[in-house]
Amino acid sequence: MEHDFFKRYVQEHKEAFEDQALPPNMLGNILGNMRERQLIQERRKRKLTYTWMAVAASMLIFAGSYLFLSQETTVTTPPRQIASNNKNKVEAPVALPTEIVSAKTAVNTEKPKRLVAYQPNKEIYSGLADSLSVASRLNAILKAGSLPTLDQKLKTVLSKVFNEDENDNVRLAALEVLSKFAADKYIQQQLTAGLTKQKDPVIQLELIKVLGNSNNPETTDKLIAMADNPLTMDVVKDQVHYALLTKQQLQ
Amino acid sequence: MHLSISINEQELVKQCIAREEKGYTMLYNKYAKRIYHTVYRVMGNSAETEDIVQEAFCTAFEQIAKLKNQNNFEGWLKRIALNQAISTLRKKKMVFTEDGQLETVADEELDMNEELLFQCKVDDVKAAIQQLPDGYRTIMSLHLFEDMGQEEIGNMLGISHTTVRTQYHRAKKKVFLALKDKAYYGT
Repeated sequence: MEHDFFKRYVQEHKEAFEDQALPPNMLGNILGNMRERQLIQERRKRKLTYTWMAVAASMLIFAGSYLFLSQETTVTTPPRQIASNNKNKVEAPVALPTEIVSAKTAVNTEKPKRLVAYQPNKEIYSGLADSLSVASRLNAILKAGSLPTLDQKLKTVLSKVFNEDENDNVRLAALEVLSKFAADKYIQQQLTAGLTKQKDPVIQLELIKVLGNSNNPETTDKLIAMADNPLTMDVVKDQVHYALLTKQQLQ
Repeated sequence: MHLSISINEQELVKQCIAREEKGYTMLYNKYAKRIYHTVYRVMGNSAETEDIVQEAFCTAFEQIAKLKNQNNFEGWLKRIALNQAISTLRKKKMVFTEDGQLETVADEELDMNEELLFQCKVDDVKAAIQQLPDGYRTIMSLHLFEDMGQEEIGNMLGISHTTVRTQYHRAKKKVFLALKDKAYYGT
């Protein structure tokens, strides 16, 4: 397109080619359109912001309710965890070397030691106190049976269970544990008292077997009373007679 | 002088970025007429031209922060306007086609000397250009008035530069043919 006369002609007369007047109010239209678009954009932005705010709020509510629910479950579900935490808290002072601690603090260090010794018994007590569950009471009695010795508190509690628990199996299990320590004076007294209190023949039979060899005169009196009692079942009476006869032979 | 104009334009662009109405008005007053005629030559009617020019100004003002060379606002605005004009033509099913598909001009030799063109009235030349088909008119306008090369026009319209060249020559012949009897009336 070189040496183009046509192009030269246009360049020379360019102003004459551009003689048309601009349409009126075009600038006003442009500025009006821009304002309108700006308003629409702002509305869109606001809409978007509201949408995001709504999304964020719903997420917050969701997260909050989830946290709240999960917290609730952690509080109610693991009682064991709470117990173990207590254990840690109590054990911490025990770790202190007693030689370093002064005479004043020595009193304090003894307390946690005692608490640590009672830890398994706590479970036993709580199990025995669970009046709603026979299984947990039986479980607690089994645990008590596995102990090498019984302290006075546990003896008292077990004796109370043996004499007063409403469930025959629980009373029988308590008798089984107490019979292991029948040589103990207190336990023997409680078992002897049981001869009059216990009405279940199975328990009566077991109790007679346990106390049959006892030289305690109170036991003998109670056995005789049982034999004379018309309400005592024949099977129990037979066992009482057998025990009394064995006693007499031994004497 | 040129330096002061450039600085002024930069300042106007900055005012537009700051959304000052004064900046918009000054830039509009400076370039509206040229842009209007550029678009008018491509579109061939004032109604569509007005819409396109308004839209081009709006787009340019809204996106003026993206303008890299602040001294070349006119070039940037013209490109926006031309792109909108061409896409409007495309929407009207006007296709910038390769050779052979457009109406061909009779290849008969024109006995008109190109220099005689200078004896024609500008209005007659304008009318002859206006009567060209859209495709020819667009190519002719871009080359003659916007001083765009074949490659650039080809890229803009999506056709090869040889097609641009051929169509330009055919358009020119058509214009000369229309001016054949008017060459001796003088400008």
